[in-house]
Amino acid sequence: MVTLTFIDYLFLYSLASIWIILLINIVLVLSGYMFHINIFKRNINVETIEAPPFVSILVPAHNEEKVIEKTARSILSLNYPKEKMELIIINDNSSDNTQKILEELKKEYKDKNFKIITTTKENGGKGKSNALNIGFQNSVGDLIAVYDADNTPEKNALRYLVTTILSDEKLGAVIGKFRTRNRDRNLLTRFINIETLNFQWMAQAGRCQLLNLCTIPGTNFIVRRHVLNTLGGWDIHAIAEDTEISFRIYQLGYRITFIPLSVTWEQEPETLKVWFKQRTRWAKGNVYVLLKYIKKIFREKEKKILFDVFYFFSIYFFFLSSVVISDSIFLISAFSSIKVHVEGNFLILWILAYVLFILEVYITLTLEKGESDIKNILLVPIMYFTYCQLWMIVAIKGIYLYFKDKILKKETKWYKTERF
Amino acid sequence: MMFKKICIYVLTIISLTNLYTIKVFSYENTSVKTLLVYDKRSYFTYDSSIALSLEQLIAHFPVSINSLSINEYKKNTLKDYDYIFILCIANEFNNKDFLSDLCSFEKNIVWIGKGIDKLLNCRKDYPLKYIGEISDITEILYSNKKFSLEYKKEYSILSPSSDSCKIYCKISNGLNYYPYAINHKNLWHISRVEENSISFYIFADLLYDILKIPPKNANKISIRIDDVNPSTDIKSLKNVGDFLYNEHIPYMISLTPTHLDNNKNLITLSQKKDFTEIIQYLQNHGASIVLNVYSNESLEFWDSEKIKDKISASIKECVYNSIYPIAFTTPNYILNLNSYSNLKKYFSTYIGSFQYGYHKPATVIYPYDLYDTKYFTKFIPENLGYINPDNKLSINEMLYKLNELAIVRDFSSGLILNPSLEIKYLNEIITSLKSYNTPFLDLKQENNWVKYEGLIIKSDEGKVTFLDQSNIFKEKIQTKSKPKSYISIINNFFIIIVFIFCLVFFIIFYISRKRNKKKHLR
Repeated sequence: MVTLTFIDYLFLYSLASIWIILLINIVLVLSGYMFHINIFKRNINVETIEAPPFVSILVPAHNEEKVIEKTARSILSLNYPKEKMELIIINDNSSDNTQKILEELKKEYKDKNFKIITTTKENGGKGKSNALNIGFQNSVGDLIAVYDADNTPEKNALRYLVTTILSDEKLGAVIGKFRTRNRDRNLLTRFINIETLNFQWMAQAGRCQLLNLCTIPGTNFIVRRHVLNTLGGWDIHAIAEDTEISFRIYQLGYRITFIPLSVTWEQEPETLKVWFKQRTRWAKGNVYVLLKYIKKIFREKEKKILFDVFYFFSIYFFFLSSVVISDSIFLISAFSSIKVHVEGNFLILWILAYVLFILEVYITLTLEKGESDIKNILLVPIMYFTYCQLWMIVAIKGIYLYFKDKILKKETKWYKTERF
Repeated sequence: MMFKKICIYVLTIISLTNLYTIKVFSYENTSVKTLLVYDKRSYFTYDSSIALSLEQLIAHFPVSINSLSINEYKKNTLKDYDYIFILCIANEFNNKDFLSDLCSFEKNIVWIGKGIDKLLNCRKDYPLKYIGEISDITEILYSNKKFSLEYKKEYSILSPSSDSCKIYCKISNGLNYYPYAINHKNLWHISRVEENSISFYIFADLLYDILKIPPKNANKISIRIDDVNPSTDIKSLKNVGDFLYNEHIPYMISLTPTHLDNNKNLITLSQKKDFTEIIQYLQNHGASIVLNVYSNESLEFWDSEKIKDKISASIKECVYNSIYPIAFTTPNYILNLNSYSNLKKYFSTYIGSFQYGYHKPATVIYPYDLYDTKYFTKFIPENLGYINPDNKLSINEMLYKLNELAIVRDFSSGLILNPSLEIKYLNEIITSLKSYNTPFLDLKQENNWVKYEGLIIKSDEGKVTFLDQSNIFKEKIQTKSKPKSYISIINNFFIIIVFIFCLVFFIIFYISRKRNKKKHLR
């Protein structure tokens, strides 16, 4: 009888969490696929909307001179009654030509409801949440839509969001899909493209199908005004304000659903440095939200939140720690005499899990036209060993930065993704 | 740039781990050379060879050891060695070449016994004075413990004249204390060492300081159920095995594959299915199988010609019944040294005591494992004795021996049990042993092998594997030494689940890809 060592127990912990994550992902992929099939069956008609509500579209912008013009034009060209929508761009302490570009556009689009709110040093520069709150305070719409400054939504994107939210009073918010505009730029953008599709079709659609649950992705979403009023707007301390507000919407008893027919195209990072910075910010933001809600987990009545908290916890702590531990044990046993005494065909499981991962991603790629081409097919197996491993570093750094800022009591700052 | 930084960090971590690994490997592959020079191989009237015993003892350490009689010594031999051990029994170190070389030898000298005055006469830098021989020593003090010594043995005594001399051990006649082991710079003097006495253990422990090799903190206790053969009471045997298994104590069974019954009929494993099943059961529940004699026939077994056939038959008989011995245990019969060398070809590991005889039988008891000697690849000693069910003092005797052994760093102690031992008595023994907080040896965790003409049985890290390279058996028999753990079962379950879903996902992928592209979303 072998006595298990500390290394063995660590290995068992990582093994157990990998088992659980494997099961969760299998269920999510199947659910995501079912969701996709159901979308076709629904035959959503967006041509006519009876009594289209007034929609305020908020676009927070900070030093967005490279992209804001295209974004504004795209939104102002949306297929929605112009008298029933307003575009509010919050120019949040930009130091570049954003202001100038916006003023020129405003002149050009005089017939549109187009507002520019320029923040001051006192009230601005405090992050996206703060900018959105300012925009919200200056809005009049019954529905509030949000787009990032680098987004170019498709013509009917807003219609789909509005139609969906109007179809069910219990919906507090509706999210659309975002695609990668610069996906063919380089290897990194191709990986990001695959990742975003996989995330939306697996994590978002899967959770939506299974549990009527999804998380606001920060752009291309719509939320009811009275819900925002009740919530008091966005949490200015949260970097991942989208995830954070999703939890509070659920706490109020509303649902959030996903309508992938509403599509926006956004620019993704084209260099590893910019990508790393962006994703670290997201990770840090999600850790903030996670720790904010995990304290209340046993008092939480809304089960959706419990599941989502558990889901995020399993990704950021559970799965991350198990991958770090199993990689460390692999390295230690390869270079020293320390061995794991737990018996089992772990290599076979690892290989099958790798194959499963590839197939899961392949399935999500087939749900988008032109994405299951030979290039992407070949990229996915490589992605596991390259792009996916970087997420480990991102997550660790995000956790580290969160706790560092917490200890040093640093304020939330606006770290904007560099545009190209 | 960030990516480059990450690569640098990863490479740095790997390099640092490699350095650590290199350091570890350096320890294992030391090139320290030692030489034992003796004037006599044995003490007068002793049947064992103290020279051989010391040579074997040094084989516990990762050093090379050669031995040489002083009469065969040739000039300048010493220069190739890092340590010179001098065993002076009869004070007959009169070889001038040797003394001349020794006087100018700057590396390590370990002088055991008499005659060190010859060295001290030419090396005035040692602050040591030779007093003479004392024979009324009654006790020895080492490691804060006092042990009795056999009376009337001669001990060479030195007197230090400087504080730079360190005394590691003292002896006493009840009135005065004298240095037993003393060290000054590169010189060590040990008054006397003889086998099967506490001085042997003390010397074994001192070798760590002499050779400057740190112990691995690998003390262990082994338990072996002796004399298990097809005539053994299987119920008692199973009770003993189950008790040890439930106490999480790994143990060994020395198995005699065949046995002559009272009518001189040969009973084999194959003929006793119930016995075989019990051995298989115990093998899967904590027991390591150690091969004993093929039969309880006679001493001629150890004749070199017959060993080969006997080994072949023993191993085949075991393997055919899915029993896999991974070591050999020295029988109660006395072997000659050649026998050990012959058996070394087939077995990596011997368990027991080192028994041999030049003129009469001799048994030498070692306090720790020995490696790569002329006679063994690995020798695991048994030195706590046999627990006689009829002798209730056996436990006290065992504990006394363990107490002596405990002064030796990395001691390896071994206990032999009768297969019919009462559980109540066994419980007392185990409770006493557990109080020492010393791990029990699981032989399967160690690297052992048994090889005979294409049949290979190996153990390592708890797994026992069998390979039939010569196709002696029509099908390869492989087994694991333990039953599948729950972890393994759950893991296999997940493998099946994941495999099924891989197939399902592949089908979904195939179908989805072929779907009408018009229906795909943009």
